[in-house]
Amino acid sequence: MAKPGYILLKLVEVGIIFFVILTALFFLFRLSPGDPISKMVDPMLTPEDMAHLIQQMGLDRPMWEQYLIYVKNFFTGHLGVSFHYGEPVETIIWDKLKWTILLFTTSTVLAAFVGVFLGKIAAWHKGSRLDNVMSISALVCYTLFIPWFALLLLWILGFQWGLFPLGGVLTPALWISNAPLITRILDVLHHLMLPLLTLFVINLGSYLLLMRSSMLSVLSEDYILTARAKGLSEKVIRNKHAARNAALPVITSVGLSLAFSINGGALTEQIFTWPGIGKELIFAVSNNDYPLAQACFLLIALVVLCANLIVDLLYAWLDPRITY
Amino acid sequence: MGRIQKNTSKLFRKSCDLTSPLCLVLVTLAMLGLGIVGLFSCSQSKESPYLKIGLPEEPRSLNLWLGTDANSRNILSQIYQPLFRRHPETLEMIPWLAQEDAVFNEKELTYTVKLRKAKWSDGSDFTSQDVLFTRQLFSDFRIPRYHSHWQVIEKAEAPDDHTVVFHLKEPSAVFLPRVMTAPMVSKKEWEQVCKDALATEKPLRYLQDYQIEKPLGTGPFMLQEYKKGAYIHMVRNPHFFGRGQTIGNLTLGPYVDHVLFNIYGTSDVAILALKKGDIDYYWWDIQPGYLKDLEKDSAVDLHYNKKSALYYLGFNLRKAPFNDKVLRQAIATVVDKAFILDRILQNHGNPMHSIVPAGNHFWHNPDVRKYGEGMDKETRIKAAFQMLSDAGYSWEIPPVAPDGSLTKPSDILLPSGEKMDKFVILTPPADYDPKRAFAGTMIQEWLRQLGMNAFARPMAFNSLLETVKGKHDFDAFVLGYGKLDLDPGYLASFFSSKNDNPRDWNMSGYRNPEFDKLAEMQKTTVDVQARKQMIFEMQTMLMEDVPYYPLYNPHIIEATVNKRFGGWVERVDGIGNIWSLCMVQPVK
Amino acid sequence: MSLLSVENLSIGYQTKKGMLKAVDHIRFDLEEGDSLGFVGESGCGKTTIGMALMGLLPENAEILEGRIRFQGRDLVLLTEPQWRQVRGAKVAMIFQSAMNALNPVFPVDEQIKEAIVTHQPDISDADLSERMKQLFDLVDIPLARMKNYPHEYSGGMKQRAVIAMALACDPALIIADEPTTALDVIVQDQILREIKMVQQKTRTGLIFISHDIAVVASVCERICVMYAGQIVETGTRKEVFKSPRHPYTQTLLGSYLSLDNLKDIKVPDMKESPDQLTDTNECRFSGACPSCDRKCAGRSPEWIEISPTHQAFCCNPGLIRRGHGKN
Repeated sequence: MAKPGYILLKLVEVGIIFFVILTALFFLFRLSPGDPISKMVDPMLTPEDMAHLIQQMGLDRPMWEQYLIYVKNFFTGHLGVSFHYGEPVETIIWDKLKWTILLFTTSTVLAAFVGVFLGKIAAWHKGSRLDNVMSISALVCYTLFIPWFALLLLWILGFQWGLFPLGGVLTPALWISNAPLITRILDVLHHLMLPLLTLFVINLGSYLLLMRSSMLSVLSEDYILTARAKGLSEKVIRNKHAARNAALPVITSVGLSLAFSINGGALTEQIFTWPGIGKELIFAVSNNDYPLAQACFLLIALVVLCANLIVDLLYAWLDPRITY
Repeated sequence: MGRIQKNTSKLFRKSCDLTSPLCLVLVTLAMLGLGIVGLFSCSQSKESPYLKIGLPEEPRSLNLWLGTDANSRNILSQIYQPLFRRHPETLEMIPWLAQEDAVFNEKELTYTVKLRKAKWSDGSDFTSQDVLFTRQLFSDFRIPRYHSHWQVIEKAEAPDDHTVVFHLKEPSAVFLPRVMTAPMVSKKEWEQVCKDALATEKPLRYLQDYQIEKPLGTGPFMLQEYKKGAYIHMVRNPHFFGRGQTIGNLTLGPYVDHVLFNIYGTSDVAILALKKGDIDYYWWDIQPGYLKDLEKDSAVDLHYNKKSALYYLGFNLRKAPFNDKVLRQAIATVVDKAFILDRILQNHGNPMHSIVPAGNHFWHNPDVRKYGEGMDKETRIKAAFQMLSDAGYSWEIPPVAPDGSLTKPSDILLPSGEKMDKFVILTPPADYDPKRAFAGTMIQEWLRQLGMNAFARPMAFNSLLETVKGKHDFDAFVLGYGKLDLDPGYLASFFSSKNDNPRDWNMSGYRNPEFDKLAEMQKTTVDVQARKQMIFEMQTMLMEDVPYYPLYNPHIIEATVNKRFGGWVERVDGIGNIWSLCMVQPVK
Repeated sequence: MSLLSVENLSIGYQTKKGMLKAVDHIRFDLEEGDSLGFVGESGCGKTTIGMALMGLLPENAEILEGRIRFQGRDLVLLTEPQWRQVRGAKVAMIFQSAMNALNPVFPVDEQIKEAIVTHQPDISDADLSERMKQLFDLVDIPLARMKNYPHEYSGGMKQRAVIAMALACDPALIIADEPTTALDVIVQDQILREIKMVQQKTRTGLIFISHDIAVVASVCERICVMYAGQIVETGTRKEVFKSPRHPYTQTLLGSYLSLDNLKDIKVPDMKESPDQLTDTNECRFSGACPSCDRKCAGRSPEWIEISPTHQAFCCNPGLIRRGHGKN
């Protein structure tokens, strides 16, 4: 069980770490080579133009001054305006984040559920044909190369058979003609299918193997033998006694995966032209779009820190042996 | 606590047991169902009359002052129009928003421009007030790219609603190609924004960050809807002044009512979309690797055009031994451009012999000194060997033995007797541009045949620019300009002594007083023929001194689908231009 | 009729090297309310017998021959579903490692209730709590601790909880496999007394397996000494403890230190463990027997009666009847 004092302490810890990350991000970006202008290799831009642009971005001030402004802005709720898009960073992030969550979080949840279920079965039938098939398939899935697999799905299901669209989130024709809401929702789901399938297949493998290995170590425990000795049915032993214990480490892993799912995945988003935050983050970093990049990383930091805390507490709640 | 836990564990148990297979079944069913739905919706979209164009990336912004990337410009150039433009075939300057050619008064240094009676997309008139306003905007905000050129205008007057008189400070060779090609904006639309912006601490930033819903333009299309992350929908501008005009042998439309821009994250997927018919044109280069497959598809047309681009090997003239002209010339001799063309470009391009690309046929000087032209490998090495030996370079084991056979040489020694230090050729990374990266590797090999310790090193693009342009801390590099302006004024920018500063345009450190003189002079030479002579001579000097050695000029390869639309206009730099959009029409 | 009657039981394990005979032609009986102990060193097969009596033999084990008659049925012939009805209800087991014998994520009372409810699904809530109270009283665990988790119990308490769980359905037979090995001596003592008390109170049959003869002797009425898969001596506790006849039993007892026999200590000279792979009729102890002589060579051991309740399995009858070895 986790005591309230512990939770409070942890929250304070989270706050401090977050602030450290805030500072680290600031300096990391500004100390790395290049600036938002450096990629503009346009002969029509004079050095004066470039200096002017830098000044307008506030990057001509001394570093410490920039830092103070940055911290002040953060605490007053101003996350900044993207250098690249000219829009407030919150708007950009929210626009992209919702798509990322729709795709990545859903796929993580599905893969976790199914993976845990199959892993449980695989461990129970260890050594059998079924287990071998499942384990090898899981390994193969896990090691699939995303761009290759994604492209394969697009090519076969999207191009050859024409069942699914070649990326994007919606069919413009439907939106422009103001189709009814239900049609539009179906349209988005239709576009969601291929990227979801890609991620589902790839993540399934790791959850299956994780649960399987956790189950196997639990199955060799004495209390499983006790359960047998009591005359319980196989199903009850497997699900109530074994899986319950085996799932504990898996829950930690799934919890953290969910947190990281907001990272999105630049590769998947790129190939399916899914307007998520993963791709945006990478572009922001390579374009030296400081406000956007900083905000994205801060968001990830916040979510990961909170997820870690929640998972810790959850674990304590589920496993009576753990007390804080 | 116990009971809650009990209930959740029950739930958990259930979920581990029942829901998972249920989920699996549901997901499979959903997928199948949607797949079938997809079949129907796909067939419907084929009836749509929209011209569909694929873009490789989301446009940065539809605010004219911020959207400086290629994709934004592609869209904005359909909206905002300049006073003068280049003719689609002859590439000469022709009046566009202007009614007729500008009248130049040499004595008073004025240009009188008569404006067309055009309308903005909301129906209001385009007047000289808009032109004056645009000029004021450039000046007030020091708009990058435009302000530096418009500074040459001392003052501008509008005697009437459709006439503007520009008074220049000095004669300018680039008044038409650089100043008059700036986009004109509507005073009505921007006036208030400018006022608000100028009241802030960072006016340019304010202006750039202004979110514009329906930009007013005089072009063939106007923005109907921009759904971020999904599509851009443009519709025909009924007030487009160019409708029905004949320019060259083109009678302008536009002949499509709707244009839809879609984004495709990778070329692979865009090509699939093209073949499937989801888009009619992909507005980006097609890599040679796809050509075999596309050539077989009868529904796809491939377009090959020259590019106004420069890809070159640059030297650091500030650093020995690259300050020795002969060394540079020898290096130029041993670089096998034909090989590059064949292997890297797979013959989709031309070797480049001057800093001004051959596609820019008016300004390109075909008679500059050419190195290693037509020579095979042996002749090349021997020629370079001769040049170097004559200049005092030596080897313990020379690349060419006394009997004339080629050998693997020892390290080359400078005329001073010292061994030449190893030097690094910086290139962009292979995933950014494989052509430049491989060119660097090949050059490294060729130079080693002369006993030079050359190393090609890929470097992240940001860092590369910082090192080369910012710090001038390099030996040699392979870089390029994908889209050079058709006006050759950049020669002065790249090679004038006064631009040899950190972060400035003279990256090689070339300092030639003769050249500087010509560079200054051509800026103010209004007579096109006279200027041409100067430009030609500048090219001759450059190819003699070789601060940059031009390598290759790739073709731009693009693909369109011919089943629904046709009429694309081929031009230097590809079919993605305003003429195509004004000419494309549905195929019967 | 006896509660449990094992006849000619042989159990083997399929190993890479061949069939390892862990239990070789065992026979014994157990009356209702009786307690029988199995003593021997590791690998002698006593645990295998325990597992066989519960139907919990691992997959690579095989009952080669023999019968296990329990309450009129032959357990060897039971199918798995049939075993599930027997286990816990008719025959229950107390395992060695109490540390992990209980599932850490469920409270103790829930686990014991589970045992009851599985076999008596229609039991009413009132009866169930009544039974739980009985059980906890029986094993001396305070009722207030019923809902605790296993990790909140001490080692001794956990073992007592395991005992309670075994007794939950009032089985006719309990098998205790090294139940005190993991406990410290003082707790061990408590538990042994507990087991003895419980067994006598409930009149449950008890089979007690241990490597420690003193422990077995303190709990069980009768003792079987095992070596290399065979029973070598069987008798009442007094008989086996006070006058062991088989050389192995004597060695086993002799390996105990006590203030009396410090000087007479003879540490048994255990050479290699017997080869249980080959099927042989020869004496398996011959390798390490201090009394082995020429007379044993070529002869097969047989059961020699010392008294109606005391027998030994040896190929040297004279040695057995005499009671003294050459030590």
